[in-house]
Amino acid sequence: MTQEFDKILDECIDRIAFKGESVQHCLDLYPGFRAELEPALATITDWLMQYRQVPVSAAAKSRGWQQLQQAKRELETTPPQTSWLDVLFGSKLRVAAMAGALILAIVFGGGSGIITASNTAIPGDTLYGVKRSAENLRVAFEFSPAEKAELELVYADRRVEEISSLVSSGSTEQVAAVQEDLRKNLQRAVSFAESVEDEAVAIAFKEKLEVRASTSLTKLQATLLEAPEVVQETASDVFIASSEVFGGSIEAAAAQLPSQAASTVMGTLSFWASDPPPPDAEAVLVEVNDIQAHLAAGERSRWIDILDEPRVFDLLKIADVHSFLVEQQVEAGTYTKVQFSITNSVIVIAGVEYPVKIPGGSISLTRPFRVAQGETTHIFLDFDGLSSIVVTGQNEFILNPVVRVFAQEPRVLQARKEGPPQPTPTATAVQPTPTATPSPAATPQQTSTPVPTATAVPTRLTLNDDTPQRTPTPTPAPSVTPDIVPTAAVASTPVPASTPVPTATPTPTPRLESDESVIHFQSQIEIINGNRWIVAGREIMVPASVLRQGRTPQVGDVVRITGIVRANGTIMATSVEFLIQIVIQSTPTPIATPTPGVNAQPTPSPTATSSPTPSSTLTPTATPVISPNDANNSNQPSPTATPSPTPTASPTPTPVPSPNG
Amino acid sequence: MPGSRGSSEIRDAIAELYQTQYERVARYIYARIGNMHEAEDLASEVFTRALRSSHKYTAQGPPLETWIIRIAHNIVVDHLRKRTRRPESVELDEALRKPTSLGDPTESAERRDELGTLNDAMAGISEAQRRVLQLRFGAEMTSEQAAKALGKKPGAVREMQSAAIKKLRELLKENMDSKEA
Repeated sequence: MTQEFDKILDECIDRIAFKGESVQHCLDLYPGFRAELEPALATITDWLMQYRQVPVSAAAKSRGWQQLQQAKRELETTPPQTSWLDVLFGSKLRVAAMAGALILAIVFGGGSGIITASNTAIPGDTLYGVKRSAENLRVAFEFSPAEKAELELVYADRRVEEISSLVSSGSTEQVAAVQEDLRKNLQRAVSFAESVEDEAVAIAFKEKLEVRASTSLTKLQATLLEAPEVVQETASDVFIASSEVFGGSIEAAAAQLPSQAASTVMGTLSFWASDPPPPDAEAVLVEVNDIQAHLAAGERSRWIDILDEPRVFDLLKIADVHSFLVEQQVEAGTYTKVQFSITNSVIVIAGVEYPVKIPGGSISLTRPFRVAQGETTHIFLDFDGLSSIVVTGQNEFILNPVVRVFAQEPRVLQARKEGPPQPTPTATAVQPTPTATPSPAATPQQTSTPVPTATAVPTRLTLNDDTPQRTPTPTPAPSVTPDIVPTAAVASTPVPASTPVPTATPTPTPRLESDESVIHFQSQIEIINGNRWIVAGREIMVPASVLRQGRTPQVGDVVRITGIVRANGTIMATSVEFLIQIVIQSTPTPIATPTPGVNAQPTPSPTATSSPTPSSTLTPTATPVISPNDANNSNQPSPTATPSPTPTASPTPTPVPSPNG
Repeated sequence: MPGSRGSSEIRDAIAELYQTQYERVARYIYARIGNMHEAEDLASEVFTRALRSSHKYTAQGPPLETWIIRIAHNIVVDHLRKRTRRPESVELDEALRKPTSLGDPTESAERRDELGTLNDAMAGISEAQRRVLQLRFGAEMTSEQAAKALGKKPGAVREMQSAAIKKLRELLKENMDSKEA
């Protein structure tokens, strides 16, 4: 009886669920079982049939279909794997034997040549598959989720390296696939980290992820900047996409952490503007209207307003200092973007104001950074006049500054902190410096044609890479404001976001007598008379020993001086760093290396004055134009190369991509 | 299934099955894990894994469809094992009780609620019974196919099915009563 009912119910399920027949029809077929059958069938139609009605996404199906087709193609293009092991042991044993070999190779430290060789494989290489398989196996072998997560981060870094390799070799068509793999690596890393119960471990993971993101992106950036010109536009997209992938994973990791809403911890975001405008400009006024930073905090992710009222800066007045924009206490955590809205900008040349366009009206930093509890993170809106203002035609200017983040406090700022307090909320309150603005008559540039044109490019300002003579961390002089500026020459190597001014190797502070003090400042050389120079109106003794061999100083060079102020007021230089050197060229030369621009529209003219400039998101801290300088310097610093104030030597604001701009 | 089929033919057959069976596999997995988004991803994984393992498929074994459901079963087991290792993980039963895990905003709240109630009740029957219903209603298998997938006799499967439906009805009634109260 029961078995019979089981069969009848089973048949009715088939009729109703699969053949679309009615419940009533079934009940009519088996009237003797109605009492039992009816409630059972009601349960099926009322409830169990719902499983059949759960919508399945067509998009998911289509995605899966693509994957399946891809897998099918791979299987079909792989030659049949028949080996002597197959013959001897059959395929299962072969798989086991292969796995064993692979495992041993990993456990005992890369004994397998093929795996070692595959480590450098990039997509398209024969060994790339081996590399990825070895990675998966290695992850599978780790027991702890924390270790697995860590490994995935290491592999994410590899993906970034692969992207670098692909872009540098010009084979950009595979980049998207690797970027997708990067996303997966990071996704898995986050997912493994999620399964770690220890909250401290989860937090540590997130921090590790941020550091990785920062270093990986910095490396990527350095490579992309040197990528072949034809792929520059792609390189820019690649960088943004990679930044976003990292940003997304950090957001995901942040979302896993317990909400800090109850007890929000605070850190500080500090915004600065820096670097000189073109030498013949009288003023460059920039109005920063709004600054917003995006906090990645899971559900509480949001934009945070940093600047409450517009601020106007004269870049000329902050030419050789870092001017303080705004500092605000913000919730500690990870930020993925910063948006600067610049409403207005003008450049004043020979008393005439010219509007300066800001592509897109805003400048953004798309790059994750962290504000630690109780600490300050510094954001630099870097107006390097030599590269951030682009002349696109007769009196047409585009402002295209870059944004840099110092996750830790840069040494230069630490030094400044030790000096006088420096609340510089407006352009007028810029910290006074002994150098100030070079007087127009002081240098040959200032006497020449004030309005730059697209054709006159005889004088070339070249930034130098003379970095070893970096000024020491100062002992603040009581009477002189230390003026330590990481301008032009500072960042001739890639600047990792978390590493402040890597080239700033402090030299030992000179031993001082009790009545002596150390001074640091920078400006143009006004007069050279043997070993006596006049810089910013001060007489300085420059012993030959502090000059690097082969470097001949010229009037007009911008130098950073560290010296000892003697009791009698004279200054003895202990270090001279060339920030800008004048080089005369007889013909116009397109010198700017085009760098990817997000906001910048590369302009078509081949002259240097119209070259594409670094974008705000791709901070070209490693622009290779710096390196030839030594060659220029050693080849050309003859007395004949002294700049003359003739029209042919007119100093246009040639947008030489500067190392930090 | 003809025994002489080569791997290439089997791969083609798997690809064909994907087109007709994907939804069934996804619903079966959904019935087991209670989250459609995950179920959809896992369903794709089932077919890809089947493809990669096609050389292991033999005609002496169960039909291809059933073989695929077995792969789905293994993938679900792996998935649930991984999930239980996570701190916020939920046991299977708990997962099934979770109506919001559907996560589909286009789904009506009512439907989600009903599925939640169903999943709740499903958690109250035995694992063997549950699997029979999942195969029958999620994977849309006949009792014979379900028997093959479970390695049981059809009679035993039908018996479990009847008992499962009876128990489920009681649980659903209790559930509805308690909601009304």
